[in-house]
Amino acid sequence: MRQFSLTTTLTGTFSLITLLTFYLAGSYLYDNLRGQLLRVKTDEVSIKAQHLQGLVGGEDSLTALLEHEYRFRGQTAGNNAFVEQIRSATGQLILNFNPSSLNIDSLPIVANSTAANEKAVGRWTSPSGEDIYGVTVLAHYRNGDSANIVVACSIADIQPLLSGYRATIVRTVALAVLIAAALSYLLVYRAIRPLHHISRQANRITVEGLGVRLDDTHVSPELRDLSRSLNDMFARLERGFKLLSAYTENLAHDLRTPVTNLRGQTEVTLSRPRAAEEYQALLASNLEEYERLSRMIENILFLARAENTQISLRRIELNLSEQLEHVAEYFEGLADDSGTSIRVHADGSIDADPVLFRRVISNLLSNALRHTTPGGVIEMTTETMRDGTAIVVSNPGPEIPVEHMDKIFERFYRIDEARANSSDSTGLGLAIVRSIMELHRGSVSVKSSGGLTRFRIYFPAKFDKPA
Amino acid sequence: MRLLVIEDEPKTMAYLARGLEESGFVVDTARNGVDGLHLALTGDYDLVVLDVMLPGLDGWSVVEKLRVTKSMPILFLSARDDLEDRIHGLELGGDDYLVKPFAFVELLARIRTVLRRGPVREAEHLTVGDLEIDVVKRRVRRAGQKITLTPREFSLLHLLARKRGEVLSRTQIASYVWEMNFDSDTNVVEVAVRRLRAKVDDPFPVKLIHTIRGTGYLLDVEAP
Repeated sequence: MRQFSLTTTLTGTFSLITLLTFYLAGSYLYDNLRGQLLRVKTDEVSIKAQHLQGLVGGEDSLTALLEHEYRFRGQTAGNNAFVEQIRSATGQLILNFNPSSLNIDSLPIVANSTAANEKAVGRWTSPSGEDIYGVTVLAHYRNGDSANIVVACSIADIQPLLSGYRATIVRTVALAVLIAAALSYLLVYRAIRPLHHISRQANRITVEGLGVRLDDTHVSPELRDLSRSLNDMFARLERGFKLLSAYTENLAHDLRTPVTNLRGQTEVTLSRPRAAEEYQALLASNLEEYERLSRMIENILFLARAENTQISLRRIELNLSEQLEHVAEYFEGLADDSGTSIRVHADGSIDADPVLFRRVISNLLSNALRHTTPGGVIEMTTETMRDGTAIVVSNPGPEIPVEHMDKIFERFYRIDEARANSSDSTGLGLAIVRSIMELHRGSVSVKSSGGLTRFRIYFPAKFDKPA
Repeated sequence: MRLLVIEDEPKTMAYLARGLEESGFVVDTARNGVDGLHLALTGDYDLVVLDVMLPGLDGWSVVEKLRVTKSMPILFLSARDDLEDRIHGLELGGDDYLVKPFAFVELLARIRTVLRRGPVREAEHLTVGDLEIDVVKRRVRRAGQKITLTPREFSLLHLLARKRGEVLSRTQIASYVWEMNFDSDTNVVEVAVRRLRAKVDDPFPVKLIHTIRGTGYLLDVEAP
C-alpha cells in the first residue's frame, strides 16, 4: 500500500472531519427549518378548516349560508395563498375562494370525517407537479345537513427560502473545510518540522563521528523524549562500537605474539644447517604456538556465539558438591605441584549446563592457581539463598588493584602486560566465565582485600530463557 | 586400509596424505569434488576424508551422490563448526565431523574409531611389556610388583594401554579421564602424566610412557 506523508494524511483527515461535522450540522439545521415551516402550513390549513366548520355549523341550512355569503368572504379575505371551498354533501362546489388558481383536482372532495386537526392534513401533488398541503373534512348545518370543506395551500412559497438556506449551508461547509485544511496543514507542518531537524542531525552521525548527539533543547516534550531515547541508543552503540574496536585491536595484538615467535624461531633455525634434533625442537615449539592459536580461535568463537546467544543451554540439575569436587580433583595435581591445595565446602544443587558449568569452575580455578601464594589454600564454597545460589572461589594471593577490578572480565585484559606473552593463558578465561554466567542469566563479581581474592558467581533460581 | 582424501587446499592435502601414509594407510587424493566423487564411486575405499568446502561440487553434494550406491564411512573436515553444519553433515550420511584446525592425532584417532566401529569387547587384561593391567579388579603390576594407583591414574593408564602405540592428545586425555570437554589452557594433563610416570616408569629401566613433544603421549614398549 502506498504510504502518504504524515502532512497529507493529517491534513486530509482533519478536512474530512470538518466536512463531516459541518455536513451533519447543516443537514440537521436544514431539516429542522423545513419541518417547522411545514408545520406552520399544516397548522394554518387545519385552523382554517376548523373555522369553516364553525362557519357552516353556525348556519341553519345551505340557504342560510348562501344568504350570509359575506361571512365566508370576510373569513377568507387576505388569505391569498390558500384555497378554501365549501361543497355540498355530494361534493358540489357551493362557495369557492381560490385567488391563486391552485389546481386542487388531486384532493378528494368528499370527506368521511369531521376531524380537522393537523394529523388529518395530507400532502398531495397537483397535476402540474406542485406540492400541496390540504384537507377535506365534513361539517354539519344546524338542520343536520352535511357539507364538505376543502382547505389547501401550496408549499411552493417556502421553497425559495429553503433553497437559499441550503446554498448558505453549502457555502459555509466549503469555507470551513478550506480553512480547516489550511490550518491543519500549517499546524502539522509546524509540528513535524522538528522531526526534519532531528533527521538532519541524525545524518551527521557517522562511524567516524559517533560522538555527535541530537540537540533536544528546542523541541516539544514528546520529541524531547524521542531525542533522548535516540541519544541513549547512540551512546550505547558508541560504547559497543568502541569495545568492539578495542577488542579487534587486542585480538590483533595477541595474535602478533605467537606469530612473531613462530616466524622468528623458524627463520633463525633455517638460517643455517642444523642437527635433526634442533629441527625437531623447533617443530615441537611451533606446535605449542599453533595449539595456543587454535585455543584462542576456539575461545573467540565461543565468546562471539555466547554474545549472540547462539549457544543453546542444556540445563540439568547438578549436584554442586559432586561437580566442584570433580573439577577440584582435575586440578589437584597442578595444585600439588605449586604447593597449594584446593578445598571444597559445598552443598545444594543448581540447574545449569554441565559442560559450561565445568568450564566456568575450571577457568576460575586455573585463574586462582596462577595467583595463589605457595602454600595457600584455594577454597570453593557455596551459598544457597532463596533467590539463587552463589559459588565463591577464593584464593590468598596478591590483591587485584582497584583500577583493574571492573576490567578483568574484558577480553584480552591482563593486569600485568608482561604476562600477556605467557603461553599458558589466552587472556580470555574470565571473559568466558562472564559470558557463560550471562547465558545462565547469572552474574560474576570479584572482591580483593586483605590478601584474599574472591570470585563469586551467582545462579538465579528462577531461570528465564534469554530473549 | 585404503583411504580417499578429497581436499582442495594443497598444503592440507600434502600433510594429510603424508601423515596417513606414515600411519599405515594407503592414501589416494582428489583436489575437487568431481574427481573425488568419481574416484570414490569407482575405487574400493575403506573410508573417505572429505572437505566440506570444495570447488565445483561441494562436500555435501559429494556425500549425497556417493550415498546412493556406496556405504563406506565418511569423515567430514570443515572450518565451520556451527551446530547446524555438523548436524547437516551427519544427516547426509557422514560418520564424523572434524573442525579445522584440528590436531592430526585427533584425526587419526577418529579414523581408527570409525573403521573399528561396531561391537568391540573390552579386554579384561592388558599387557604391555612387563606391565600388566587387570581391568576388572583395577590392579596394576609391573615386573611382578604391585603398583598402587589413584582412580584417575588408573583411568589414564588404562586409556594409554587400550590405545597402545597411538598418540593421545592432551585434549583427548582430559576429555576421557576427567570429562573436561573443552580446550583448557592448563597443563593438568602433563602433571598427571608425570605423576603416573613416577609410579609406573621411574622405578624401572624400560620406560613405557613416551612424550611426543607438542602432540601428546603414547604407551608402548618402544618409542616410535
